[in-house]
Amino acid sequence: MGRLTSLSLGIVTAVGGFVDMGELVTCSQAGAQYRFALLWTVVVGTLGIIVFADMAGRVAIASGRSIFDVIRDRLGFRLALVPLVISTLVNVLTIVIEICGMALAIDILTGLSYLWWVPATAGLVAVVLWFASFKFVENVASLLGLVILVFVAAAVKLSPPWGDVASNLVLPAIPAGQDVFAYGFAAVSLLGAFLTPYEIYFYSSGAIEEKWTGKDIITNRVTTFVGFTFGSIIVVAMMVVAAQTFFVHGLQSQSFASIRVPVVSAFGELGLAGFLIGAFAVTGGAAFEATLSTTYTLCQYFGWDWGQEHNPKDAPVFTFWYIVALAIAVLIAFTGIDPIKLTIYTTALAAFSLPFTFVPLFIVANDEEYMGDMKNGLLANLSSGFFLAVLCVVTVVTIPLFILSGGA
Amino acid sequence: MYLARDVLDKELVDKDGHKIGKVDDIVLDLRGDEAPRVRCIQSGRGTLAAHLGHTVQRISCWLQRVALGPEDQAGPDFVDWKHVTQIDVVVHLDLDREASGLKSTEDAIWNRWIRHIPGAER
Repeated sequence: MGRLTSLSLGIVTAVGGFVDMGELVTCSQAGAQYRFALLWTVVVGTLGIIVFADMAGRVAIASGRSIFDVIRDRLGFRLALVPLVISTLVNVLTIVIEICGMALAIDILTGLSYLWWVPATAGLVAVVLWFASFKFVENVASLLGLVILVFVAAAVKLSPPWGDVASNLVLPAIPAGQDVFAYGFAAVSLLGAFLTPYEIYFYSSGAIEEKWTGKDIITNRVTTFVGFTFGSIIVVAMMVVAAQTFFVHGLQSQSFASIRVPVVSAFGELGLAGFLIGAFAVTGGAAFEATLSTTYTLCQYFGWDWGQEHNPKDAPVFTFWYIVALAIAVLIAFTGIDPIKLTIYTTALAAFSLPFTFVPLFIVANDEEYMGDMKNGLLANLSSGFFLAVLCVVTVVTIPLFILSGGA
Repeated sequence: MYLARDVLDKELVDKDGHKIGKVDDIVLDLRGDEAPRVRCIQSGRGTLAAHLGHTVQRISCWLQRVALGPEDQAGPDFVDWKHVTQIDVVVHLDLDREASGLKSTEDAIWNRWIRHIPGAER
């Protein structure tokens, strides 16, 4: 039973992390613009996050230390400041897009502009974090998030050519007549959406909150594999339904409201209800994770006591930072910046930032003193080395692609 | 044991296992020709910022004033080296967190902000 409970950590990280505002926006746009031609990014992104999360979980189990704790220990405070600053920036921007995502779902339901709802959604996240336990947040977000499976049902109903879907999953192809830079920037944004860093901080810190031990090494592997694979099926479905609905008619998916169109055309009012509940739940789950990740990383770097299982009195700085992070996120949202554009930029920035945490994690996972006999084996080093190379290429090309594609 | 590699930047843990800060700096006693001796561990409150130049230091002071209040002028916390009992992936102390003197930031944040929120004292 304990193992089954632990499995939910992987599932919620997948549903609330792998599937969030980033995926809702980038997959819908990618399917509409490029049909199935960017499906291969799902495979690369899923394998990448599995390797990344498995390593982070293993480091947490072997040393009992979380990711930023060991990053600072191994790199020293100066060098570790670089991933801290970049991660905090990406984390806070992620909170902005997720609370906007929750608010946009209510906007569709009520017709009242999402900006009115932003303080309410941020407030909801703060109140739940204030009162609820880690387990409660995890379980509620994961159960409600399952409603987003409506995209999978819609994909089946819209009966796409499954052969084309399968071949595009493994064979990258640039569609004829498309701007290669815009295509490249879309691929980078998708990879950033799949490999958003907060997923790793949340997963690593969650393993410690749940007091994982050496016995959980198998749980770690199964949760990362099952959880993220499960998330990837939903993501494939999102891209496929957008392709079947928009691409075939030569339409674009430019707004949050348009993301719902495929499920509404498949299931009518019921589809709309499923979309609204699912979108609210996954963006809500991701808002919790991103908010917690912000305070996790700051507390782990500076050494303040942290943990959602603590009362506010036992970890006041931990509590302080998640309230501050949410307040800053609301202020950023209030500048009126388009949440869809911000989502694209945030996922691209996430992609750019990945090696800054991946490299130190890779170093620590090979450190005998920390890891003992759980240190990276040959297979883990080959796979993580490969993804490290991919991520470094992504980091190098993100900014040039952004400029050459005119911000896509 | 190498101080920079094995002690600096590690988590400080009290005798009950609570996280109470980082080894942000190490204070050494230098006496003539004798080998240097470790006097104490320095933690928090601008210790890191002091190594990062004037601009970072000014930002750090400003943040501290905003977060902890203008009347809070306390400097870094120190803990005597004799309280270190073991060093592995963390640095263990034989003190509890109240006695360690390392909780000044946490206490200030609690008193200034968090304890005023309904439900804080649960």
